[in-house]
Amino acid sequence: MENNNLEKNLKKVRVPSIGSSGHKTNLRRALLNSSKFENNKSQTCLINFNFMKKTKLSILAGVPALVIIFALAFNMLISPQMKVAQAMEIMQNDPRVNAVIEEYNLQVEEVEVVGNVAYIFLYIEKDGIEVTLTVDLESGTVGKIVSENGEIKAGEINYDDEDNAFEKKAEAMGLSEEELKTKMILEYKVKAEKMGMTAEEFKAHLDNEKKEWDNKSVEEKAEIKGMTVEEYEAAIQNK
Amino acid sequence: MYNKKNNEELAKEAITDPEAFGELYDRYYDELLMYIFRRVLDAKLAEDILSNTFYKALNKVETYNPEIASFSTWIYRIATNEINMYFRKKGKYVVGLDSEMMEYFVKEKHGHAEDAEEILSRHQDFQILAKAIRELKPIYQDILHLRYFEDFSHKKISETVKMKESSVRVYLHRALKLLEKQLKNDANKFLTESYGK
Repeated sequence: MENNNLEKNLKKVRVPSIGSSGHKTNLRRALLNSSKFENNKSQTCLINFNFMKKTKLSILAGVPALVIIFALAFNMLISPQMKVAQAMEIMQNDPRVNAVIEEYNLQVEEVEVVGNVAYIFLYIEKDGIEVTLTVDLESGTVGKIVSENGEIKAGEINYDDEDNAFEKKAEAMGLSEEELKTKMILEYKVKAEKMGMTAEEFKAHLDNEKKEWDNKSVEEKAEIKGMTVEEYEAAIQNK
Repeated sequence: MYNKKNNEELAKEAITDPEAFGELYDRYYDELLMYIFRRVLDAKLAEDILSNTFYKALNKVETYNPEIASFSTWIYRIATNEINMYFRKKGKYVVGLDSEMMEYFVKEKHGHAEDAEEILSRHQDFQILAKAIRELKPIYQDILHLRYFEDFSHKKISETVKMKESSVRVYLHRALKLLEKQLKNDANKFLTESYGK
C-alpha cells in the first residue's frame, strides 16, 4: 500500500464514538465540589468576616478568635503553598537537577509536601515516563532523581558507546536493542534541533568534541572531571 | 452568561469560579471522551483517563497561559499525556472483545443512518487501524490520531505535542510509513494464523 493510499484511507475511515453515561454528571459534580473551590469559599468567608469586623459582631468574636482564624488560614492555605514554592526554588537552583531537566525535557506535574519534605513528580514530555525527586525543605537539599528504572543522571546517553556497551545499556534500561536505538535516534534529533543544527551538523559537532577530548592529556581530562589522575584512571578502568 | 464567553476567558475565571470550569467541562467532555476512547478502545478506561484529565486541568488551570496555546490545545495536551502515561505504566493494552466494543458504538461521527453491515465494516476498519497504530511509539500514535481522527491542523498538533510544525510533518510522514509496515505485518500474521504457512 502506498503512503498516499494509506493517508486517503485514514481520512476516509469513520471513527467510532461512545454514548455518554452517568459518568458525565458524576464527574462534573465531583469536580465542581472539589476542595480547590472550597478553599475559595473559605477565603470568601474570611473576607466576609473582615467586613463583619467593622460591625459590633467583631467585638463579640474578639481578638483571640481572629488570631486563631488567621493561624488556621495560614496553616491550611498559605503555608503549604509557600512550601511548594520553596521546594520549586530549591529544585531550580540545583545545577545537577537542572541538567537532567534540560536533557530529558522534564515537566513538573505535581508537588506534594509532607512535613518538611516535598515530593516533586515530573514526567518526560516525549514518552510520559514518570520521575520523582525529593526536596528536604529544612536542609535545602535535593535527593536523587528516580524513575521506575532507577536513578537518572545527566549525560547518561553517550552516543559514542562501544557496541558491547550498547547491549548492556539496553538491558539495564529494560529495552530491546531496537527500542534503545530508536530512543537514541529520537533524542539525537531533538538535541540537534535544540542546537539549531541538522543531524549531519550535530554529528560533526560531536565528532569534533570527541576529537578535542581525545587530544587532551590525562591530567587535563582528570581536571575537567574534577578528579585526581589516579581517580580518573581508576574510573576509566572500571568503565 | 457563561456560554457567551470564549474558552480563554472562562479558563481565567475557572481558577476561582466552579461554574466557569463547569462550562469548559461541558464544552470538552464529549469530544475528549471520544478522543481518549479512540486511543484506548475501552469505554470504562476512557472515562477513567478523562477523569484524570479533568482533575489535572482543574488543578493546573492557573498555570494555563492563553498567549502560549489555545485552551483546546492545552486540554488535549493534558489528555494526550494522560493516555501516554497510561500506556507507559500498563505496557501494551489488550483490546477488549469486539462484541463488547460494539456495545459502545452507538453513534456515528457524522450521524448518518447506515445499514448494520456497513457500520460493522467501518468499525472493523477503524479497529484494524487503531490496533496497528498502538504498536507504534507514543509520539507517532499522538500525531496520527490527532491528524486523522481528530482533524487537527499541523499547527494545532505542533502546539499539542510541543514540537515544531516542520517536525510534525516529518514525524507524520514517518508515522505513515511505519503504520504501513505494521499493517502489512498484521496482515501476514493474520494469514499465517488463519491458513498456516
